[in-house]
Amino acid sequence: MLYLYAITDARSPTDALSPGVNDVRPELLSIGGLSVVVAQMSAAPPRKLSAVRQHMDVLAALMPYGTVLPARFGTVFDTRDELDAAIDDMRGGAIADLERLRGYVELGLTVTDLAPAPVAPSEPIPLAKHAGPGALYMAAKRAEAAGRLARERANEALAARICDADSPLAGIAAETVWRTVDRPESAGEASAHAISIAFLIRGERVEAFRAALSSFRSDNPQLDFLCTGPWPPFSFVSVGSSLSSTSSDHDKPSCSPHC
Amino acid sequence: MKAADGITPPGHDMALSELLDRVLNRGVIIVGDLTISIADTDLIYVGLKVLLSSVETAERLRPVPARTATVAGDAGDALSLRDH
Repeated sequence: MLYLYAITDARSPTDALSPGVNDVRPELLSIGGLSVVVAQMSAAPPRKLSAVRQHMDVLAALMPYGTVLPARFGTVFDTRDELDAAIDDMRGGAIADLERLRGYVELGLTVTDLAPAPVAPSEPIPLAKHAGPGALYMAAKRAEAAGRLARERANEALAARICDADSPLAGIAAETVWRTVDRPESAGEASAHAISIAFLIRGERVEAFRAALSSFRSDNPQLDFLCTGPWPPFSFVSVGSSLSSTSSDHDKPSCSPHC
Repeated sequence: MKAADGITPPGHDMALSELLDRVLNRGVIIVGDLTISIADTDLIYVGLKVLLSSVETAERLRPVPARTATVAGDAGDALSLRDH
């Protein structure tokens, strides 16, 4: 079977690549004018964290050689014909993505509001004097939904502060997308006020972004930041992805949630 | 190039979740060709929720003692953290 790592515009990077998933060295195929990084495997990749890391290591090693459209971990094709057909289906979109994302990397930023504004209690529903368990249950569900909605609005406001075009961080990015971080309830109430933002940034502007973040963090001590990357532009690939919230207008930063 | 070169010294779980969120859930996604075909988005998120909690919490939540974050319903369909 053929394991798919990425579609790229790099021409001959595989000499520099170490063995990846299943300890198989990736190779470069030319399909329909696109360079496709694959590995011939006799078995499916194991569902282990080490395999996920090996997948990422191959993608990271490709990045210096050109634009990389990363494939999701675990994408395999039984035959070369199936791979060719899949690549052919997405050829137009892949070419457009390679053009649009050339020279860009993705930086991830998880922002947690350590001192969120208290959520105002919702108006209590007038209940009958001897309300039954059903009415009490529905009242509790209503209060829970109101709290969730308030948190979503707080997250939207937080994202707007960081992603608005006049923000020092978004000003460096060509595109941004954000989503609420899905945390377990066991992580506590404060962790509900966290968002994850992906910034699409030109490779040479990464240091400028880091400097801007350092300054932004000093100005916002109530916010906690975790910055990761540079990544291949996972969050900005449109081909083959169900995500459609990114904008292709590089002159006008966008800010929209993933889901 | 490092995948998770945090400015803030990254909380290990958060950096890991950032990696998994991208590698398992984004990029070029070809529906129907996934080896981990049972690990669609919802199931991956189930896995991430476990990963984001502490090891102790994950162990408490698990019905069996091995340190494994279950992505699917049975042990054969798990994303193993033993090499973590």
